Amino acid sequence: MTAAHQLLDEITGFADLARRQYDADRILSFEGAGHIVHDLPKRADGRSVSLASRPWRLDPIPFVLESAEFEMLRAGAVARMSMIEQILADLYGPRRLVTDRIIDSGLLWSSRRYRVAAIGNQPTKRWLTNYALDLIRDTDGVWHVVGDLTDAPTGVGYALLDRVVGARVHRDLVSRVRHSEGLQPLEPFVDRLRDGLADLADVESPRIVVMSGGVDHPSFVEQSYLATRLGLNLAEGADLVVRRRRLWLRSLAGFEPIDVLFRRLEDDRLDPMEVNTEGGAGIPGLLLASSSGGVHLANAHGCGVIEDPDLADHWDGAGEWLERRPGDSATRTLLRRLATARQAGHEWSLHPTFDGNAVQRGAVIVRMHLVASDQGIDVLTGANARVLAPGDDPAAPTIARSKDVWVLGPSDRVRVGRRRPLPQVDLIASVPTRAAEALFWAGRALERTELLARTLRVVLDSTGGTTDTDPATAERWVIPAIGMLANVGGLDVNRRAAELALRTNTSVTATGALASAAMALAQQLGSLLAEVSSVREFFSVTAGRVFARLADSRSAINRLVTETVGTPIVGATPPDELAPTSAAHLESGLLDSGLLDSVLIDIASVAGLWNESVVRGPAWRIGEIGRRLERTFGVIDAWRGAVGWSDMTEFDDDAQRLVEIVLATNESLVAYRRRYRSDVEFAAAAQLVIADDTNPRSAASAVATVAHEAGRLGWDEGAKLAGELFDVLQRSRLHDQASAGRALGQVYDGCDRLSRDLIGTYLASPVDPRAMGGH
Amino acid sequence: MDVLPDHFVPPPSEHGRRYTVSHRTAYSYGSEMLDGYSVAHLLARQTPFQYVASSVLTTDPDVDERDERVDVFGNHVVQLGVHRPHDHLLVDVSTDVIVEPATVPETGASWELVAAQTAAIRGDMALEISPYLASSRFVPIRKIANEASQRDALVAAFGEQFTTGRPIEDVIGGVCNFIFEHYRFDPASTTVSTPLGDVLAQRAGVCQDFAHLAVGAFRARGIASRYVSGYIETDPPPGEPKTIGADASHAWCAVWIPEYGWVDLDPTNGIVGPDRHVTIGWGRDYADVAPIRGVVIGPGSMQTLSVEVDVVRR
Repeated sequence: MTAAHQLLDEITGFADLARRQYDADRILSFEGAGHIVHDLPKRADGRSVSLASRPWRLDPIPFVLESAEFEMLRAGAVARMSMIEQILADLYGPRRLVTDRIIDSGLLWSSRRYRVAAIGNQPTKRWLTNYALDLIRDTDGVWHVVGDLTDAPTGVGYALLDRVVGARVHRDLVSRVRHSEGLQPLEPFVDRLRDGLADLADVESPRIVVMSGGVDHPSFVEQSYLATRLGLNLAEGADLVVRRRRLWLRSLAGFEPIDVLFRRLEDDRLDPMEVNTEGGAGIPGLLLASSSGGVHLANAHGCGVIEDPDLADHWDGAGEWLERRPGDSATRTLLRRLATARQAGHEWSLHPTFDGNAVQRGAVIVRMHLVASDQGIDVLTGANARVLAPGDDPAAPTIARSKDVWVLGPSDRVRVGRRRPLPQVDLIASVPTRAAEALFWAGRALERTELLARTLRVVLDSTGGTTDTDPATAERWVIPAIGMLANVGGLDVNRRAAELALRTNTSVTATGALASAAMALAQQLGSLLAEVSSVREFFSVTAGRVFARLADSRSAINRLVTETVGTPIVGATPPDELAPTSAAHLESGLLDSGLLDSVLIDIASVAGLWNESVVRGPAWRIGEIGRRLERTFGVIDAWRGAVGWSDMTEFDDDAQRLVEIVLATNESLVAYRRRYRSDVEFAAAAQLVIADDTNPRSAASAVATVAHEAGRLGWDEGAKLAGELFDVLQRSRLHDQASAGRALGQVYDGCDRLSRDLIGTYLASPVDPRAMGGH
Repeated sequence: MDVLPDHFVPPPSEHGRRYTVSHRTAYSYGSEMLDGYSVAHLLARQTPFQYVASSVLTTDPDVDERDERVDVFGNHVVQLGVHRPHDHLLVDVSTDVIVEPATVPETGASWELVAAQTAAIRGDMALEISPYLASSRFVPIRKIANEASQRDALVAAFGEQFTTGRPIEDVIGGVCNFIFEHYRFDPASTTVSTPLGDVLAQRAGVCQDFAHLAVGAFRARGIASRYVSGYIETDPPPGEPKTIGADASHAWCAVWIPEYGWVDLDPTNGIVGPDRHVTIGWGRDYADVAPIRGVVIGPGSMQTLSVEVDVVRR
């Protein structure tokens, strides 16, 4: 019995596979990969986001390969990559395969993936930098190729991610196997990949960016994860621009030259100037720059032709013909493609797989990854594996279940890399403007979410759920509290209806304003997640876990509101009044289950990580300015809402209770009590919440931070304006409601101008490119 | 790859007709665009029958970047970039050419023989011919993904022209006349992206559609055919002066006959052999030689486009 068999027997014998499956699901969702969030709202730039880009689960049973078998696959895969490199060089170069009619040229030219612009544009170094191939083993133990991936092969990021999960799910086993049988590591491949990318440019310390399809691309999670592991900037089409036949990154520091573009997008999405591109996607002029040597692409433009299903069956023959040497009759291709037509009828070898309840057996597709550098070709000592359903087409599995792939054997084969020096400034100063913009909106969403969650919590708390007060009292402070909530959440609450509801019911929840606020909270959480998911590379792994928890809370709030209101909440008009049972259900769901508390704690964690774990570069400062501007807006919204719906001519117990609520919403009630040790007074409370810059929750403190960070950013106009707003707050006479109102209005407008100016100055990235008609 | 590079073109003879073509493309964006890129197939290329004295492209506003290259089909391509706020773009092309009268070959070779010889071509000529045998976006003669092939429909529609043993030059004339007589010229019937199947069904279209149709008729039979973009000299209505700017871009096609070369046919006008035609360039179909297209980046607004063409004989 081989080591692989023994290992599999051991794992399939685990009594707690279901728990390990649960762990795997949970860890994947922490990593932000396996997310089950489907309906995030549109981002500020109008694009929608789905974190559901990797909907499959990780099988707790790995696919295990013995050293000898892997070595055979390695040799075959390396030979195949070389063969495909030769085919590409011929198809876009001398085209002997066409002149000698080895392949059907009509078929070749009919392929949309045969790129006209690539003909005659031999890349400086190589066509393929990264390559992947899909393999399957039949019942005789023979491995067949069922797919070559040459355009923008995906999977390395997922393999790394799956290993992180697999190693945690089987912690004891993995550390034992590492020592005894030898579990080969994946990390060296990441270094080789970075080398391979760096080698494309003949400069001392090349600048490399990963070109992603953006948050709405199905592979975004992988693209982002891989960029983080490679330590490279993630950029999108709009971040990159071609000038003077060179590629530049639009960063906060200006245009920065880019030497190598690791594209995660297919050939037809690279340059809208080329014939047969998809819509207006890509970077105009990119191919002109690359054909002039102004930037090197990995992979080179045109490599996708190998993936065309109409041509795929012809490459083995073409490759053999190209590689044939006089007197050399041996086939160098150790791994051969199984013709598409023959794939269906084949019997595949079956492997144990856990379906959530029991161990089953299923066929498995294995995707190997290779990288070419000046040192030769390296192979990932691991792979992606996907489980097939019975009768599946190997090219299109119908069930979404992946496996970590363990390659056994000593890892002394791993070459020690050179690790070419890469520019060290990259990730701090040279931030794509799009990323800075996402951080700005994330900062704003973070603050607004917090304020809304806390206001909701405080209103529920202070009214104690039930109001046994008489209507007149309710009008004095409960109604203003609802007004504050409405203003903070931007809710459409009918004051008259709320008053009526309060007269006939005993619960503040019955007004419907709380259901409406819960909906708004779920939406704010969605905005926050949508922004941070597009800049995940800025946040630590821990932050990823918190985001996953917030995503769960968001789903829970959505569910709760749907149950309470009885309709799907998206686009629904909130009711003016809730039935008592519904109101009770909403209240207990938000409060008793700890849902709101959990949101508040997680938001506090994000804020803490934001301060403690994100490098303080220009992007952080822009995000921080976003946070503090939103905090100022929030303080003013809450204040105006409470004051606007109340009649505080006489400062009695009811008015005092209202001011306490305002203080609590601002999380300043404790600070107030510590400072004044007295009954709450209007002027003192206003001073603390608005003008006291020693209270970090005050508007003055937030505006002071804006001035400080604007200065550090070098944004002098912003610093000056924020400084003026600070003075306005300091000088305002807060005991006088009218005077306070004027000051707050001035500060509100000023912050609004700061926000717009910041966007105009730093973030004005071009909006949607549109095609020009032509004739 | 053009088999006849520019420097092989003989100097013009005394039989040549001299034309000056002015082509103005005017984009108005409605508001200021921050950045704009366009790619133009507007500069004329030399052909065995066309001597290009000059072909000049100018713009307003001046461009920030301009790159010229020759594409895989041998056409002159200009890439333009305006990287500062601009609310319009004018592209003016002025071309002076001398066009020689064309001869139509009399090979007597059957179309089946031409198809067989085409299929057997090897070497550099295979590189030259193969793009024009393939299925392409506007001439789908092979099923690709979920796009239907028009091969059978094309074979059926032109069945009368491809009779057994018919000489290729007769087939060329036949296809040209068949479209001219049985298809209605109707600018309202199609757009630049109308599929060939619709053109076949409604028996109506414009010059691009008819060029695609003829190209498809030949490719469906294994005969190489390419799409040609250019201009044609038009006559004013009898007794009226010629209206400035009333001409238009034109499109026709060409068929390859082994040992002879390319024969042009203009199914829109029922003419075989270049006559009053000025060639810009050619490709598999419209997409390869679209006169101008591009991308602008800026706020959303109403975009307008106008084109004026004058073809004047000197």
